[in-house]
Amino acid sequence: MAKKMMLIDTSKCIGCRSCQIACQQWHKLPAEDTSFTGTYQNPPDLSVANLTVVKFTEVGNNGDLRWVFFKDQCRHCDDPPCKLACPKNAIGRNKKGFVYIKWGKKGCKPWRCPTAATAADWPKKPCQLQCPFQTATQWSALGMPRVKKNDGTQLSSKGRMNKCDFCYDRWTANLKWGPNPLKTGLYNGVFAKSARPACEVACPTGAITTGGVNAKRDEALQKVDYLRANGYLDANMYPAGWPTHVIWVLQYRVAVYGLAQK
Amino acid sequence: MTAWTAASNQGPLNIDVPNKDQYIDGLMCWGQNPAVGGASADFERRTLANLKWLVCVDLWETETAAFWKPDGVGGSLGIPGRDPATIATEVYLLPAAASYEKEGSVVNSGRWSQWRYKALDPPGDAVDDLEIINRLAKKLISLYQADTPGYLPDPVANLHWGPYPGIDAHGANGASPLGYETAGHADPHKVGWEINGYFCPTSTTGTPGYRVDGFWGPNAALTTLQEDGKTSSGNWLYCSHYVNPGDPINSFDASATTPNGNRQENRVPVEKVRGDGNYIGLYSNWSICWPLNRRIIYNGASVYQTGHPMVGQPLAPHKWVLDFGVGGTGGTGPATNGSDVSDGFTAPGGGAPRYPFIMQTEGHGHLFGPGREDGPFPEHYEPWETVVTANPLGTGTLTSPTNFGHARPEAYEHPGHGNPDFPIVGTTYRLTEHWQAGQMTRNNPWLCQLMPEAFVELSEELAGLLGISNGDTVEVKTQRTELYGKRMQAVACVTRRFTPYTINSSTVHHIGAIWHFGYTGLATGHSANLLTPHIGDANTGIPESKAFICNIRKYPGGSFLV
Repeated sequence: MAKKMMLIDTSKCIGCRSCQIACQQWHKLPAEDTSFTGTYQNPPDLSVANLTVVKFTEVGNNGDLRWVFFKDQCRHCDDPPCKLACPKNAIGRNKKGFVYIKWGKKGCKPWRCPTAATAADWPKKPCQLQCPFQTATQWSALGMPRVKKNDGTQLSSKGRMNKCDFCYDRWTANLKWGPNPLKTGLYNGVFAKSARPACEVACPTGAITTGGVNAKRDEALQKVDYLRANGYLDANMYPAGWPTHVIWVLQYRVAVYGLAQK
Repeated sequence: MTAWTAASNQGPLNIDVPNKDQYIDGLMCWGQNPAVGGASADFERRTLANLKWLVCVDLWETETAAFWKPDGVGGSLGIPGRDPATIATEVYLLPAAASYEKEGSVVNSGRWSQWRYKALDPPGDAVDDLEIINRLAKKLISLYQADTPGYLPDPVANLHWGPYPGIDAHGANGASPLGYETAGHADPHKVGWEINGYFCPTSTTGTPGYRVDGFWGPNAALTTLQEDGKTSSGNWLYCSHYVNPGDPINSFDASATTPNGNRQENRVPVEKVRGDGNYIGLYSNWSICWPLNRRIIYNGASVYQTGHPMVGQPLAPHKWVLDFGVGGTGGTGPATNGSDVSDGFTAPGGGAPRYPFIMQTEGHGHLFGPGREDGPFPEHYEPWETVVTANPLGTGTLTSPTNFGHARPEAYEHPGHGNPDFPIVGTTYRLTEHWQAGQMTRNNPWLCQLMPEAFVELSEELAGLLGISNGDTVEVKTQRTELYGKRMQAVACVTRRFTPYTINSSTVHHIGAIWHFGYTGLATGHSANLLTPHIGDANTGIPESKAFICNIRKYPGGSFLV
C-alpha cells in the first residue's frame, strides 16, 4: 500500500475549527472545560482529548492585518523517534506512514512508563522527550503525544497517551478511501463512507487534503510557487528538512505562526 | 409618533413582548427564545411576567421558558430581584423534535425546497411541531364549534383544516380522507398537497382532487391554478412543488417522472443540459425551486435582443443560461434551449415585447428607484442611537423619522445623540460555534469547549486608555442597562482587528459583543441584547440592534471612558 500524506493549506483555512470537533467525534473524546482567555484559540493547546487544535495569530497592523490559522497536530514523522523511544513498543507505524499509539492489551501504559524528571510539574514521557517537534510551537514544550488535558487532569487514572493517529482506524472500519468529497461535489453518502481522516472530510474549504506522498508534495510546492507569485513572498512548505507525512503550506515565515523547524 | 403607531400594532417588534396594557394574554414560542435573542432582552424578560400563559415548544429549557425560576438569591433567573412567587404566568414547556427527528420540507436562500427525511424517533414524549399544531388546531376548532363566545369566532369555527379528500400517495382519487393525518399522526405530505394546491369539487378545468401544476405553463388551461375560485393553493409560489404521482419531474421536463408527485424529493445529482451542452451548475432536477423551478430569477436578461446569448466573448462558452432561438416563445413557456425556465423576454417577432425584469413597470433593471423623494440615492440616516449630533452626509434629519419603536418607549428611548456618558459605538454579532439564541449549541459540550463564554471585542487603543488587558472581565452600559440595572459583563478580547474610527476629525472607539449567551444550558453568560434598543425599520420592524452607543470599563473597579 502506497504511503499517504496530508497537506494542510493554511491559505485556505478559515479558522472554523470543524476539524477539531470532527476529530473529537470520531475518536469519542470528551470536551474539555475551558474559559475564554482573550483568543479564539480554544482549548489552548493539544491534549489527550484534543488531538488537533487550530492556533490563531494576529499579524501586522491597521490596514495590513492578517489573522492566520495553523492547524496543529502530530506531523507523522517518516522515521518517528517516538516509536523508537517507547519502552513498551506501544507506538506503531503502518505501511501508509501513519504513526499511532496502540491502545490494546499490549498497548500504551503510561502509568508504568519511566518519566524523565526534566519538568517537575509535568514530567515528560520518553515519547514526548524524543518528539522532534516538542519545541516547535510557542504554546508548549511538550511533544505531540499527550496524556493530560489542558487543566492537568487525565481522562482516567489509567489513561493512555494520545495524539493524531491519521484516523488509521477508519480503514479497519471497512470504510473506503474513495474520492475526495470536496473535489467531486458528490456529498451524498461520501462523508459517512470515506476512510479519509475525519478532519479532512469535515473541512468546508478543502484546506485539508490527503493523497500519495509524491502527489501531495508536488501540490504543496506548486501552491508555494503560486503564493510567492501572488504577493506572499515568504510562502513556504513546513516542516523543512525532516520527512513527515503531514505537511503544511504556510503563507508567511514559520516564526509568524509561532513555529520552529525540527 | 412612533410609540402611537406601535401601541396599536402587535407586529414583529411587539408580539414577543406583551405587557398588561395591551391585548396579548398569552404567547407561544416555537423554537424562539426572545429572552436572549430579542432586543432589550432585559425588558423582554420583564414583560414575560405580564403574560397569563406562555407556551415554549423547544428542544431544551430555554431562557424564555425558565425566566420565572429562582436564581438562588431571592430573585428569578430572568428578572433579578423579583420573587418568583409574585410571577403569575403559567409556563408550559412542550418537548419538540429536532430536524433529524421529523419529516418535512426546508427551503434554502436559493429558493430550493428540499424534502427532509426522518432519521430517528424523537426521545421521550417529544413530537414534531406539526403534530403539536395539528392537535392544537383541532382542539380549538372543536371548542369554537361547540361554543362560540370568542371574539370573531367564525374563521376558527369554520376553518378548513386539511386538504380536499384528494388522491393519495398511490394516485387513488378520493382515497385520502379530510384532515392532515395519516394513521392518527399529522402527515407533512398532506400539508405539502395543501400548499401546492388542487382542483376543487366544482372545478371545470381539472379533475377534482388532483393537484395543480404551476400557475402558468405549457398546459396552462389544463393543469394550473385558475382564477375562477375553483382551485385552491396554500401558496402560489409553491404551486408545482407537490403534484400528482407519475407527473413529470418538473413542469418543463418530461424526460422523467416523479413517483409520488413530490418534486421536493427530486434528487438527480447531475446538471440538466438542454441544447448544445451549456453547463452552469443549476442542477434543475435536484429538489424544486420556486417559482416554477426557475433557478435564476429574471434570467431573461441573459440574452440579447435577438433571443440568443452571445456564445464566446464576452461570455464564457457553455456558461449561458437560455437561448430562445429565432422567434422563441420566451415569456409564455420554456426557453428553446438552456437549463433554466425563462423569466420574461419575448424575442422580436415573437409577440408583444416582454422584458426580463417583470416586477418593474418598464421591464428593465434599475440602478436606483425613480420617483423617490430622496433622489437617485436614498438619504443617509444615522442609527437610532448615534455619537454624532448632525447628519454627516447632509443637512437633513439625523435619524430616520419613520423608525418603528416598541409600544413602551422605555425599551428604545435613546440617551440623547452624542451623550458624553456613552461615547463608544457598540455592535453585536454571532460566532461560527454558536447558533442564534444558543440552545442548539450551548448544550453541546464540544461547541461549549470551543466558545465557552460571552466576550466583548475592543481595540488595543481603547483597552490602553481604560487599563483593560486581554482576558479581563469588563462591564458595558447603555441606556437600557442603566434603566434596568443589569449591565453586560463578559471577558475582554483585546484585538488588532478592532481599530478606532475617525469621525468628523475626532476619534471614536467601538466595541463588539457576542449575543448568544443566557442563563440556561451548559455554557452561560450575559447576552449582548441586554444592551440593544428595541427599535426597528418602518417597513417590517426588523430590529436595528446592530448599532447603539455605550460605555465600557474594567470590572470591577475600572473607570468608564470620558
